[in-house]
Amino acid sequence: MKDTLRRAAVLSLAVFTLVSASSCRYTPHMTDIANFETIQIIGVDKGGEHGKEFVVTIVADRPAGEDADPVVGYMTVAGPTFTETMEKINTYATAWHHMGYVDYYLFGENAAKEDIGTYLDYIMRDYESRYSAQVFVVRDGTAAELIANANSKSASLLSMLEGNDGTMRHESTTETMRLIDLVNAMSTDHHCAVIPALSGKDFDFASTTADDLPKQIIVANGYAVIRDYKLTGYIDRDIARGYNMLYGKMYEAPVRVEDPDGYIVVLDVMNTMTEFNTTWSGDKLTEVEYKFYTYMNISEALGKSDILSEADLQYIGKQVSRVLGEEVQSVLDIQRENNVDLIEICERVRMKNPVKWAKIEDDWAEILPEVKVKFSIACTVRRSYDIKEPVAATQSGAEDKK
Amino acid sequence: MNDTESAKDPVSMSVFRERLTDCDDIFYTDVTVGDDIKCTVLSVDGMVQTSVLNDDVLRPLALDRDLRAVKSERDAIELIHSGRVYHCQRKLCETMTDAMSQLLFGSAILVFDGEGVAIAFDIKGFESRSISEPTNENVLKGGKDAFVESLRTNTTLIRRRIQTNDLKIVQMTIGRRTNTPVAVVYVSGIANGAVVEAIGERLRAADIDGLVTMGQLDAILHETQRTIFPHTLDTELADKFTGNLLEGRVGIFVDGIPFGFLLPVCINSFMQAVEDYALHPLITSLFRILRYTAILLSLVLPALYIAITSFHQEIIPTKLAIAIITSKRGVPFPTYLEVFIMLLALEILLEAGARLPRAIGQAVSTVGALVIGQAAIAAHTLSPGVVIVIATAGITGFVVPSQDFSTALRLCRFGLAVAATIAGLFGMSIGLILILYNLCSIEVYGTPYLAPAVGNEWRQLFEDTIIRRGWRKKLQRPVSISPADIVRARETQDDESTPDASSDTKEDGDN
Repeated sequence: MKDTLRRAAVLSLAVFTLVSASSCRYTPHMTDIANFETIQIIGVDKGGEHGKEFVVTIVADRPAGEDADPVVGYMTVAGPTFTETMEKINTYATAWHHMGYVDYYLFGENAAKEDIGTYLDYIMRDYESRYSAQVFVVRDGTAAELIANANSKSASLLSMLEGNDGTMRHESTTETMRLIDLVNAMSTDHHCAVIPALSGKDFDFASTTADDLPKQIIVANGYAVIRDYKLTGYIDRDIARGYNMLYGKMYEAPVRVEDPDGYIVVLDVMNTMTEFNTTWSGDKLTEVEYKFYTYMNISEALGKSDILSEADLQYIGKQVSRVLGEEVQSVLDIQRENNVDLIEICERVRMKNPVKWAKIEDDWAEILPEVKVKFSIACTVRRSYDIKEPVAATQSGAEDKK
Repeated sequence: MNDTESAKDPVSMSVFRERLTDCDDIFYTDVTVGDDIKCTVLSVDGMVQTSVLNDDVLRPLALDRDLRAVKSERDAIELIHSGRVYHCQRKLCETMTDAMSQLLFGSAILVFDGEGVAIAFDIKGFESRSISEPTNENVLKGGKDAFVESLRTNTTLIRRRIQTNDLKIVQMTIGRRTNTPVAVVYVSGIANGAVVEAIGERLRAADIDGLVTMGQLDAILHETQRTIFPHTLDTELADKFTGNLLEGRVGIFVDGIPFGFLLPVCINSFMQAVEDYALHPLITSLFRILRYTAILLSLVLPALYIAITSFHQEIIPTKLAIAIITSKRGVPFPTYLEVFIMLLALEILLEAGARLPRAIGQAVSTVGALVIGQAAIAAHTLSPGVVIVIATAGITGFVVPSQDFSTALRLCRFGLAVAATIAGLFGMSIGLILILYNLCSIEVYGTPYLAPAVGNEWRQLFEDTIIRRGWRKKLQRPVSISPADIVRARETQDDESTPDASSDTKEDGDN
């Protein structure tokens, strides 16, 4: 038995080696990594000379070598179909463009309005594509413009996107989204896909040491709502935090409110926990309720009186609840107006009551408008960092002594 | 020896002279004992202690009162054999073969031609290397006495460590032309009797003209197996040899080879160092995990680099891919060729370092690694990534305590690199399966090579394999080698009567 196995193994290896050495086309294809161009951003637009062409812009980062400066190169190509456009890129390029290193996909507004499914289909079918790549919609513009305007010797869109990954989360205005999550969101009819939106903003810093600055920097600009593979609207930046709360993506975020004397107090949201409840009448879903428990720290106090008393903290907590509540309500209003499940209520219902969900799943589009959505926000101020009393209060006290 | 054999092969000076023709290092000293009884003392120049020969053999023959009075060879032989010649190690040789063997083994023999017998006096005293520190195996915490070329010195080193009558040393000679002394060493009551018997049989059955190299011994001890992995653990450390005997293994010494050989072995035997038993079990366990990780890295790293840079680029993180592509700018060779060039260079450097005198060898390695490597990168002949990968594979390969096993791994590394060049990770997987298959098919005297990872003794992986438990815990000997006594250490109970410092202090205070 042992000899038979050994002979079989040796024979398999010999056959495999012979097949490999005979230029058989069914052997794995070898391409040295040195022949690759590392595309890291792909921008997709609809436009071109005739307004109906697919326009693809690729960005490749070439770091500094011993005898070369770092270069972020970009190339824009237009074509009648998305596939032909992508093929053109390889025709024009000096190196093989490998999709495996694309970390960001940007969809221009017009392209997103047309049919985002076309591009996703192409991208997902390529075995090289990374599902962890992030996707964005460029609001009020094209991806090509944003790439061009954000590129300079000292900065590039790539570095901005890499840097903004943390910044966006810190402000809790717009959360990033992975390619695989977008595909998942689009694979169901129960809710729509919500993709983070970016915009270019003119570079307006007063002073900087960099000698060559980009024309524009990028800013997070709320969310794009995709329904039936098409861009149908936006969740604006000023209420994006409300969406994050409802979706369960609320991270650190500054909230500005007024103390009892009318002075500004800034609080940092440190953590938010959500409790989700459903009310059923038989097999009919009548109401869903979100209970948010938000914990925050006082970051800045501009008033003159001590606000760390229990009564004042409760007052401030209510103010925060009111501010955040308005944002949440605005998102729920958009949902109600458009009659779409923006915040994936269906997923929460499914996880809460899987058996009952199975009964209403097929009629979710009809049920959603009739479901009452309630929410409450309980804010707790946990810490005040090192603030014992507002700075202004100390200054006024010193002046009084004088 | 019975009378029939001695009658067929009597000791005779004429036969000695005939067989030892052109052997100018044989000394013949004619001696007259008693009343004109002629006999001859034979010795090999340089193999006996001349002073002992003079003082303990020749002087009593000439001066002993009783010997001077003997009338016949028979009486003389009886007197000498009963202690008149008072050298303690003497043996009566009644056949020519025995007498010749004793002579060439380093004894002085006193031949009585008339009676056809000889008396051998063991007065070996040839020049030999003294016990010194090991040259191949570094020891940080442990005995530093290493084996030498003399078999008896080596057995003495072991006897000093295992002072019990259970230590058995069975000696035999191998080699039609060399008559090389070989000793089988084992601890009775621990070693498996069947294994001892099997090893003894193989050694006795060996029909070879001479035994002078380790490869010959390996061929005698094992059936032909199609593998490059070593079947016998060799060590020059007396401590390591002793530890393995106490685990139930059987040791072998060959005169002229400064190593001890141990059987049966499994892959774990090649991964253990002497320090493992001198350090805290947790530290030892971490070192062993490190060693296993290192051999895996050493084995697969070059092949993995070829596979992912030539076939599966998408699994490389973007930043790393960019770094690799940047480093390959201007390099004219594809990655697989770079890897093979570097692997070949590494092997040449190792071979050059091993063949040259130690000081020069180290210089060659340093110059090769630093200067040539740096120059090759600067000239864009090789990329830094490949140099890092091969250097890492090389260094991790040196973590293995056994040189033989390390060499086998190096050869497998080449094979895997070829497989990866042909078919990427697919080919590499086939290569690894073949290696695993080969390892699974090896058995050394009934012990699976991958024990205790195979079979039903997997719990021993956490006793003294990857993880080593402390000596205070209950420990078993490796089940895979079927020792006669399985219990190695019993759990030590803390002695409650042992006074601790605090209680002493309290009593002092009370007083």
